[in-house]
Amino acid sequence: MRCRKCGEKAVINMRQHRLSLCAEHYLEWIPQQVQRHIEKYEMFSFDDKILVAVSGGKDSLALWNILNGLGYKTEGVYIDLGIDEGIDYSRNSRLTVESFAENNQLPIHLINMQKKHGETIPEINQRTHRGRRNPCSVCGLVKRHVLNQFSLDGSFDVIVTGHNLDDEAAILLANTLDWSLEFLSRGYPVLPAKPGFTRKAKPFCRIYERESAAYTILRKINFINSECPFSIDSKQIYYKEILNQWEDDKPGTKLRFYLHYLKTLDQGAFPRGQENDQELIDQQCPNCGQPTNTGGLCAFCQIFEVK
Amino acid sequence: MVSKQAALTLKGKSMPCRINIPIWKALKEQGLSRSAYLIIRNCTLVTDDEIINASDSIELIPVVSGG
Repeated sequence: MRCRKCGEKAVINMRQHRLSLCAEHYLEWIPQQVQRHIEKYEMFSFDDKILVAVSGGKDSLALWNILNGLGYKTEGVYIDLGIDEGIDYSRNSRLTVESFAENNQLPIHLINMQKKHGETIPEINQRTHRGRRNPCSVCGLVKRHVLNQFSLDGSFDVIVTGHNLDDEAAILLANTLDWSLEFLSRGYPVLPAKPGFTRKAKPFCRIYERESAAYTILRKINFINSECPFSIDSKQIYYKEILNQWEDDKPGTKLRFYLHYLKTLDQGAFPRGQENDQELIDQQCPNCGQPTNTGGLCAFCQIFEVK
Repeated sequence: MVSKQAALTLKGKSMPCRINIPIWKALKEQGLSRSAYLIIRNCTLVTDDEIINASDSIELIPVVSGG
C-alpha cells in the first residue's frame, strides 16, 4: 500500500477515510486534523491558558505533543492516584509524564491523591460500595472533581483531555443501551464554562485510538503501555471490542456512529443541561464550593464523608 | 527446508501463522480484530495488507485502552 500524497510505502491505512499515508505525511496529517476539529467545535484559541490532563498513556501525551507543536499555551497536570497493584502503575505513569515534560521543556503539575485528600483510589474503592462495584466510576468522578478544582484555582481557560473517537463511541454505545438521556445530552466535544466549571474540550474526539497510538510510535514518544489494573474487565473495553468487530466489517462505523450522534445533538434530540448560571451559583457544595445538584454535599465530598 | 509458518507476537506471546497471506487475514484466523492492533514488522510500522514472509518478525501492538 502506498502513501496517497507521495507514493512512498504507507505505514498506516485508515480505511474509514480511504486514506493511507507514509510516516512523514501521517505526522503532518494528524496535527492538521486536530487543528481542524479544534476550530470546527470552537474548543479554544491560541490566547487561552490550556490545562492538559495527562495520564502517561498514548492519547494524552500525543495530544500534549500536538498542541504544543501547534503553538498553543499548555501546562500539564498529572493526578497520582496511588494505584500500585503489584505493577507500580501510578509510579511508572508519573515517571513517564515527568520524563515527557522534561524532554519537551513543558510545565507539569503533580497532584498526589494521598497527600491532597488522604486516600488513594484503591483505598477509596475498597472502602466504598460504589468503588467495590465500579472502580472506574469512582476514579472518573475523582479525576473530574480534582481537575476542575485545580483549573479553577489556576485560572485556566480550558481543560483538555485525550479522549479519542473510540472512547467517545464506546461511551455513546453504553449510554444509548441504557438510554441515559442526561449523559447523552452531554456528549458534545466541548462543554462550555459555567459558574464553578471550567470549559472542557476533547481535541482527539475524531481521532481513532489506533491513529493516536501510531502517532506516539512514529514520534517515538515513550508512553505507559500497561493497562490500569482496575480497568481490565471494564465495560468500556468490552464496548470498544464490539465496536472494533463492526469496524472490521464496515470501516467507518465508529466515526459515523459518533458524527451522526453529534448531528442529532445539534438538532435537539437530547435535552441539554438545564441549569442556568444562577442555579449553579445557588447549588454549591457546602464543603468544597463546586456546583452540585444533590441538594447537599457533592458526589466527591460524599465519598470522603462516609469514611 | 524453509518453514511454512511464521509467527505473530502479542505481549510476548508467540502465535504461529501461515505465510504468503496478508497480515489482516492472519489476525482474522487468530480471532483478532484488525482495528485493535498496529503492526510492527522488522521494527517498522506497516499496514496490515502486507504479505507475511517466512523470515518475518511481526509484533502486534494492542491499542485498546480504557476504564
